[in-house]
Amino acid sequence: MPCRRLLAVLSAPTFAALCSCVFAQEVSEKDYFGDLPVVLSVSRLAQPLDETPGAVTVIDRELIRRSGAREVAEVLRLVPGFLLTYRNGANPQAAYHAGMDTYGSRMQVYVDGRSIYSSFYLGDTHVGLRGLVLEDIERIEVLRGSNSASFGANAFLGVVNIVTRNAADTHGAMLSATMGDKGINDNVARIGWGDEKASFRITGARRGDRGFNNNYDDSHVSRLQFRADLMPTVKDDVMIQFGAGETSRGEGVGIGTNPFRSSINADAHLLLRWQRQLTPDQQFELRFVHEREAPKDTFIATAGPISALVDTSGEGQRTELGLQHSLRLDEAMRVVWGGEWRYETARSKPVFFTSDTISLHQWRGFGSVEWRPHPQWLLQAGGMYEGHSYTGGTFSPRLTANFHALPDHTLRAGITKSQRAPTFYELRGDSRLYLLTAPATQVAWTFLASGNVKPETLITHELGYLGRFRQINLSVDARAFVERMNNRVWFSARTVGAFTPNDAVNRPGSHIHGVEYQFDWRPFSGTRLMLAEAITRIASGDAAEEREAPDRNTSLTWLQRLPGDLEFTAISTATTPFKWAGGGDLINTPRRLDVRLGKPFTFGATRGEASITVQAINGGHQVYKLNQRFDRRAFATLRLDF
Amino acid sequence: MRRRFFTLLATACLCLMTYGSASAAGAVSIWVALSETGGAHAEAAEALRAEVEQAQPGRIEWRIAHWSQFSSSVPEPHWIVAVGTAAQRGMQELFAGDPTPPPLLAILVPRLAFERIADPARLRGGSLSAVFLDQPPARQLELIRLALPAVRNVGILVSAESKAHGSGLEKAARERGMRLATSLVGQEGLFPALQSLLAEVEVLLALPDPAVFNSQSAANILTAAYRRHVPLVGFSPAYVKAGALLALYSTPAQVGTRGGEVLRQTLPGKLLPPPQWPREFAVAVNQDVARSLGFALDQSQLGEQMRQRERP
Repeated sequence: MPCRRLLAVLSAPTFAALCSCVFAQEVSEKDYFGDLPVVLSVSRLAQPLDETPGAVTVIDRELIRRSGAREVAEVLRLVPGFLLTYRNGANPQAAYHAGMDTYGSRMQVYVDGRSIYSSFYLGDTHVGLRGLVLEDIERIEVLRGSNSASFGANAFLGVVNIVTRNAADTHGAMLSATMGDKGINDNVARIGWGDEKASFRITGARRGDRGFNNNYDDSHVSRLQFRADLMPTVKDDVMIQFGAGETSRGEGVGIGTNPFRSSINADAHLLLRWQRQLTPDQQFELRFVHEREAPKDTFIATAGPISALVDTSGEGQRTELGLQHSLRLDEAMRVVWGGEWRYETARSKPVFFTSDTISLHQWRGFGSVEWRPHPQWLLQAGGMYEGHSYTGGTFSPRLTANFHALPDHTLRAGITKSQRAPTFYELRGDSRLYLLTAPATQVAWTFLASGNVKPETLITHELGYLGRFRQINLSVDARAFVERMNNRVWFSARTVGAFTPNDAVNRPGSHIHGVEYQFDWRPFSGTRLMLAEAITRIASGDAAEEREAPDRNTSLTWLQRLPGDLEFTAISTATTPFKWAGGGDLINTPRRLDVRLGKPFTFGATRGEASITVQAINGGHQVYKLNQRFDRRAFATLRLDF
Repeated sequence: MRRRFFTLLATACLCLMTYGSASAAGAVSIWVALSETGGAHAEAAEALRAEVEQAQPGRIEWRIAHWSQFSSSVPEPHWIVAVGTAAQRGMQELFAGDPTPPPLLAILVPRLAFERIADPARLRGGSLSAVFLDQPPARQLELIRLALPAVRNVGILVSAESKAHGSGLEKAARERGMRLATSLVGQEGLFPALQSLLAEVEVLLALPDPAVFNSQSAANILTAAYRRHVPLVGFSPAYVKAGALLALYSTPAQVGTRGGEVLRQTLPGKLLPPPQWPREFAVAVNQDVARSLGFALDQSQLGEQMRQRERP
């Protein structure tokens, strides 16, 4: 041993210091008896599905990859109760329970804790969802139901929580290219680097296609995304994200008042999150978000001899600061509490009829208690109070009880009240059209907000069952619900001088009730079958509103490993006739079957996958409107990780 | 020799009832050399002493102290028990020049550490043996099979220090229809080896090796594995507390008791048996991690099932 030879000339302390490098790497009983920090404390662990205060469907990276989806919205159709449509080929949209909005304004979407909900115009999550890069997503957790008590306003009809991959898990380079019918041309390039303490990732992606036949609905999405995950100490996790992108979507139906054009959304965001493990039972989180979006949609509308500039362009910004403290008081009691402050601005002369920047403040205080009075019972109560500079204060409470009737079999009952906050447009919109040739002459007044609109509310009662039959590898999740919507926001014309602009007004909403369930069965190694189905009824007294949900909405997924390491997927979705709000037609039982065949391979240190996907292999179906078809389309993907 | 031994013992036993009593000429004297005077080492030593004393009360003259307190100038003991690696090394070196050193039983030592410093000639001659702190490979794989029956791919992370564990574990895995994937932590550091391993395994088996698993790296390994839903099976209760799904280990008292049994059987003058694994063990489950990963595991039931399988 080299150190021994040095012993003669070195003093003992120096020897010890030099040799520690050698002895420190040799196994001894100290390795068994040394203390370790508590790493996976309860607050760092995902809540088990049988203890969540609502029904949750989790779609992991493997399922996303094997689904053949190119968009998050396409993935969401695997979730019971989710409907997927395309307002046109450039506007895929998923909605929960009822097709009452084609922009995703009644659904909350979080990406790593950052809401991508845009309140600039009519309330929108579908553009934000289009900007996400599927290859960077670790999993998608969907809360089937509403939960403003935990997530605040807009966690109304479904909460989609998207968790992107930790930068530590994406070291190395990845390239992916997809080409196919309808001009499908997607590319992703990613590079990740770092070590145990700090990891970084940059992803660049673009996605494009020509949409549907006979429609002006090309779309181009481009995105650059950075994520850093730092672990400066065992107790601290720091995440830094920033990203920017642009989504260009073809719009219009080719008539004078709605001509063909491209609508472009540019956006950028910064997200900082610091989580500190104060003790094994306490965690503190600080979050800062800043976002900017700049939608651009401008066209000349013509009706007879009259031409006017229609413009919904503008700029919106959101800044949010939140903190959260979670603590386990004892084995039976956990508490989470915190607060958020949010500041939003919007600027658009054509939308708000002012050159000024308009703004609103929101602040939130929330708390929830999880109490286990008995090993079989888990009671959870929570609430959020939100102050809004326009609509005042609202309180959203939630109460759920989970009863573990038997090991692996849980019954759940819950009641919750949730809100959807009115958007800037619904509160302050003022859209006037002026003659193109004589800009001082007003020819129409399309919208004038009185500012009296109240938040929509939804009171949900639900019963749930979660069962796991380990012997046959089957999981069952069922939920029966009654959702009572109040103050649904509608646009209603009123008379202002010679014009009849719309205003956002509240009306009693509908009763939505039904059941939904999912079976997830792995009968053999390499085989997975999933059935997701929702049976929904809407009662409101309004025939059109009652057709906003299909009686039955089903998806059946079959994942199969084949000889030769091939992976086969078939996904069949179908809904009974229903009509999307916002201009949709009654569509008769659209059925869609997608199939995918993939072949993962390794070539030296490079891992890769080649796949072919055919969407709507059964020939296509109508979507949204009678004259729109989602036709069969095939595309091939090659992906390399090295 | 034997008669003289017992005569002297009978004379001495009256004044040797107490722990650490002064030596008496002719008694069976046993040195218990500790790597550290407190904690696990003292616990193991106490269990060993209790085990021997229970069978042969008062026959032994015990001298229990830190290994550095012993010197070869005093009369040689009849037996030496070294508790821990440093004590084993110290005791071997103390009698390095002695052509007939007293038999040495090392307890509470990891197998690789023991084998690294053990004198092969003494091992062969039956004057050196050990009760390891590690668990036998078959027991480790059996626990994985029992707790996680769906698992087919088990991963281990090793450095040059610990790669010798590979062959035994590989055989035990093969016998149970499982595959062992080994990732060697090389010059590029821990992370690339961990990431490539996590991509292909369903459970990670931690092995004692300070170059791989230490208080710094454990956090990274546990969080990276958890993100991929790969549970970790640790080798000490500290791992379960930190976030491992399971741990299989023997407590210092269990190792000490086994050491006492070995010593008791050997005291009549037999050669030491070959080095062996601890017979008794404990299984610990982190219920929070188990629930979060969707496993239903009962700690006491799992431990009992494991013990039943090892019963002859």
